[in-house]
Amino acid sequence: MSTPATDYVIETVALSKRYGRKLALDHLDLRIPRGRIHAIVGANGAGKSTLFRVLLGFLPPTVGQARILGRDSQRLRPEDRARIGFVNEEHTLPGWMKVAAVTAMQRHQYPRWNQHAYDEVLGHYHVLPEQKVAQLSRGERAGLNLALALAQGPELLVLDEPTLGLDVVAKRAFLESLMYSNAAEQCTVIYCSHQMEEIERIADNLIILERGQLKNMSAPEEFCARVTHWVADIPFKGPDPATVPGLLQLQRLDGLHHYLVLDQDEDFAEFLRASGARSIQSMPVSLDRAVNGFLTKNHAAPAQPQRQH
Amino acid sequence: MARTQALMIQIATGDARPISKQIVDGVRMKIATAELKPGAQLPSVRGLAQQLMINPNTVAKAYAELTSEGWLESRQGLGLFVATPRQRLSDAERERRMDDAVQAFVHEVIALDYPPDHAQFLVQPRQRLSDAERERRMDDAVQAFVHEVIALDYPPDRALARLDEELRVIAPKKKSA
Repeated sequence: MSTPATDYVIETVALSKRYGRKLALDHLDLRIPRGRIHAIVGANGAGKSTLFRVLLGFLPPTVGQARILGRDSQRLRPEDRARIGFVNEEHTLPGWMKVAAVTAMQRHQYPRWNQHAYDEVLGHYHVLPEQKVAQLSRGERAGLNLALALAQGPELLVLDEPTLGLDVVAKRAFLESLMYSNAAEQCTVIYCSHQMEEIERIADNLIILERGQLKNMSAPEEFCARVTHWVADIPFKGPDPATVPGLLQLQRLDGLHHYLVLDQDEDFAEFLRASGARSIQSMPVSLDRAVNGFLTKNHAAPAQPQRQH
Repeated sequence: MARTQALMIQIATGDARPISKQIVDGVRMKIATAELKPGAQLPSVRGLAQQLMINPNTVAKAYAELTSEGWLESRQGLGLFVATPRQRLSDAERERRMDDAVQAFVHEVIALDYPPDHAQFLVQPRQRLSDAERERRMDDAVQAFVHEVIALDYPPDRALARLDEELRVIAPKKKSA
């Protein structure tokens, strides 16, 4: 009995995954709706790889549930897997095989094979059918992987750092195929990356994972608006960093205090004034500054004992 | 010959302004400076997205905002065009918003301790920002004011006159003998 398509392509409920003492996923509640391009960012070890291993059924959860395209991740059948395309950084394809042979193999495997989608992507690259996969450049291999994945006609396309190590030409071709090809428009795209410049260009939705938890899910500009940069002239040491609300980062530069803070409004100026600030200014920040500041937050105040309030 | 007019705007990633806002500001500027005239056709959502190498939904968002503000109009089946100028706000509303913009600018001039008459400034003991930082902040304030003048479709010479009026109030205290 098949499950009807849900509104969520990915759904986790209190999903946890433990490796020995390490909790890679921590009661994760993630719901990604169908359609559009969703970027997932997080520091290494944030849980991205583990999440996808669980979602694709390669690992069981320790606790909780994971569903992909409405199916239980632990009970995926071949026809479910056929609806999911996957492109990762290694672009693993048999090096000894010719491009034509790899393509024929994939075409045979997927009944919904869309040759036009394949040609549309691969047309950006100078790849000849008789070339062996190992002879292709990194960028050409990435293009080939994307062409194969999109031609399969997936409902969900997952990309894990696909442009890492690509030259500018190849990267541009890859992103163009992802944003403007008809085949890509038909599916939901999940894009894992550290490269904020790319994410700012392509993402409709920004998902931030940290230590196995969901920290943000919103349009990129909404997240960006939550972070502000304050500069204050405070004589002497200024407030104890542990007491600064929403603190992501603190710098002392040329005698001024620079605060990068999260979810603070004009009341933050009052806090600074109460701490003795003589002049106070604030300004918005770029997306990469906001995300990087957020992710490096725990390095803001080295060797400070954590105080619970 | 193409019917679409070229839209010569740039966007920058790593900017504090979201990309959709950069597009909105860019298009408004082109219209205000008459580089884009009423009736000119804008690039399609997809076309502009490809030109700028960004997600088409971002362009769609910017176009939607420009349309709801009355800068652009959609013609069924043909595309998006620069609208003929028409009163979008009541006179009272425009005056009020121009008041706000003038006050905001004047406050920034005071806060930055910037010489209102652009005369050579003395190094004040209270000056705490570096010169480069002050200039940058003043740039931002000027840009914000100009953008508001354009957004309100306010006659620029009248806007300058209003600004001049307000700045004169604080200027005498700063002029050196």
